[in-house]
Amino acid sequence: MTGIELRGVEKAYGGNQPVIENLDLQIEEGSFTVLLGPSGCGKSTILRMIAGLEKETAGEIFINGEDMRGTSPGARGIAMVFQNYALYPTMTVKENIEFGLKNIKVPKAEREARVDEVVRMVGLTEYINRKPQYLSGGQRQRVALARAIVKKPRVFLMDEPLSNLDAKLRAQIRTDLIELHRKLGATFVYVTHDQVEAMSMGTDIVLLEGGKIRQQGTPQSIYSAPRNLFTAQFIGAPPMNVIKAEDLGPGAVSIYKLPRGTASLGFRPEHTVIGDGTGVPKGVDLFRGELVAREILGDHAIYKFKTDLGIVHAKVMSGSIVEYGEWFVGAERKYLYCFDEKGDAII
Amino acid sequence: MRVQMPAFRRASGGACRTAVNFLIFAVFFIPFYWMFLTAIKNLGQTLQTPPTFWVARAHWENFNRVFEAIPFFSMLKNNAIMTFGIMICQFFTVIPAAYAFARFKFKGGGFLFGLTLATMMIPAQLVFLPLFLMFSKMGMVNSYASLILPWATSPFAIFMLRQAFKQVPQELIEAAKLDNANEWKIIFKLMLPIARPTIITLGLITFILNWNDYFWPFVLTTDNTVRTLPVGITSLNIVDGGVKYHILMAGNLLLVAPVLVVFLFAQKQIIKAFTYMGGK
Ligand SMILES: Nc1ncnc2c1ncn2[C@@H]1O[C@H](COP(=O)(O)OP(=O)(O)OP(=O)(O)O)[C@@H](O)[C@H]1O
Ligand SMILES: [Mg+2]
Repeated sequence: MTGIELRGVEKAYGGNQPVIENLDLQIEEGSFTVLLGPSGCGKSTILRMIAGLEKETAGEIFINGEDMRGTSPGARGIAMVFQNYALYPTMTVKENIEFGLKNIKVPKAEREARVDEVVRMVGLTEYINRKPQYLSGGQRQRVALARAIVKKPRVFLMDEPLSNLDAKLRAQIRTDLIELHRKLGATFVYVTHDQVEAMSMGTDIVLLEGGKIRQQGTPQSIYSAPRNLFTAQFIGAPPMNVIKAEDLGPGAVSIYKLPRGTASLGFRPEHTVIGDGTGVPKGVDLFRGELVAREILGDHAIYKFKTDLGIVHAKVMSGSIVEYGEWFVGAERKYLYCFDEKGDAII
Repeated sequence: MRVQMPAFRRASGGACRTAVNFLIFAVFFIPFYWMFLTAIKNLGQTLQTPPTFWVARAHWENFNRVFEAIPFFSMLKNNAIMTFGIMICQFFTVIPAAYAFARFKFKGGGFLFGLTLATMMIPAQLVFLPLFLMFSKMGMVNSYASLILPWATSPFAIFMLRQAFKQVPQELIEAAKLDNANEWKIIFKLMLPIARPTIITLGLITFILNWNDYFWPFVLTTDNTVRTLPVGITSLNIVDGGVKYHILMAGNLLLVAPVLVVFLFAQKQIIKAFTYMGGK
């Protein structure tokens, strides 16, 4: 069953060009769906329309089968976690968390019990009488989460909730969120422009560009079967290496027996083969490249080669460290992705 | 990183700062001290040259003379009624106006706000005569209403409070909406508490301005039954020939005492309001 459904949704701010046009989107109930895309592609706008904070100019939005037209944000059975936490500065942690319950007149005994449970869940018991300004960033983030959880919503909406935290805390809260999602079984809709967050947390990724869905699917399918160049290059760090077919020389498509209509080729950095020009492995096409930068990251290393065909990255899991200088790089045929003129994948 | 200063420079820096602090303290304190001192001198001492900076015996009876010369307590009551009347009126006119200007987009909103600000530029001298004529036509001269109504709202306060409301991030209001808060809840549980330091400061400014105001109460009243303290105190100036500074200062001391007390209590809030306005 679909948890959230958008049908033909359009959004234009003021009299401007629409930022989202005719958008159809299904979000599975109980999924951890990540809206992923570059800055300005309309992720927040979509989330805010689901929340009812922004009114769609056309189309319909359904949550659990109910048409949300005319339903106020508070009545949609959703909770939202904002990028800057949006905690009420004059209220204590406890008052922040129970504000929503008070407004719908939950009896005091039940309210206390629910607040108590949530506070324990996010580990804020010692801080419940503090004002937000006396909490650290991570603690504030947890108050914001608690405020959402306590309402027992069907849907959690989160707009880049981790972007103000340092890398370590971000990694920690990422796993906390995965746990939380499994425990609550609610639908999570999570907005980010960070593909690592999307890949690590999402059960479903919606990749957006310019207000349009470029691909939707599980992290694995988006990673291993990108349907277009945009997806291929957005997912993965470093991004997929792409070379133009014409740069391989005239008639390259037929010489290399590539699918008809191939305009560009791609292979992932983890599939880059590095050789010294002797004993070329079978089925690998190598071309000359100069190692210009390397990052040794412990369990793996990332190399950047400058070749006549453009920049090629290599991600090598183990083995000896590659020295600076001239090398040959390439990829096995089976790891090649082919894209046509329009950037669509050729399968 | 803090650079370690040589000991003597630190000491001289400290001394310099102490001196400046002392100077600032003196600038503000000496007039008050002078007022207090004069209030407990006798007439001879006030006229003495060179002036004395200490008196051996305090003449507390000066205060009794104030009470005899003017209907002090009735004027104090009038002053309180006028000042608090104005504050209450402003509370009910300024907050809704500022909130509307800050939060809602409505037709003519910008124009109305501009108009509100423009009234700040009209000099009092220009309006007091028409105002007096208006009140006298309505038979309202010598009433509390005539003292309160001209100040029942304040464009300056509307402007300041609008800024305070505007500083509240949109996200907070959205979070409150998602928490099922209606507009009233948003106003009373969220916006007003956040703007509290500003409201208290504005209240204080209104209090001080009106408590000490001389011009308007003087112009709009002709009868001691509704006249306020500043008018009364000034009249001490001209009782039976020759300026009696000691009595005048005793009256002044009684006039400003409440202001000082209020200020002492509200100090913390004022500091908060100004740090908040200064871009957090
Ligand atoms: N209130 C608004 N008024 C006018 N235009 C807006 C408004 N909010 C967003 N936009 C425009 O809509 C487009 C999408 O904005 P949106 O905030 O949804 O992007 P986003 O994907 O969330 O980006 P980011 O990752 O930077 O947050 C942008 O081009 C933006 O300029
Ligand atoms: Mg955004």
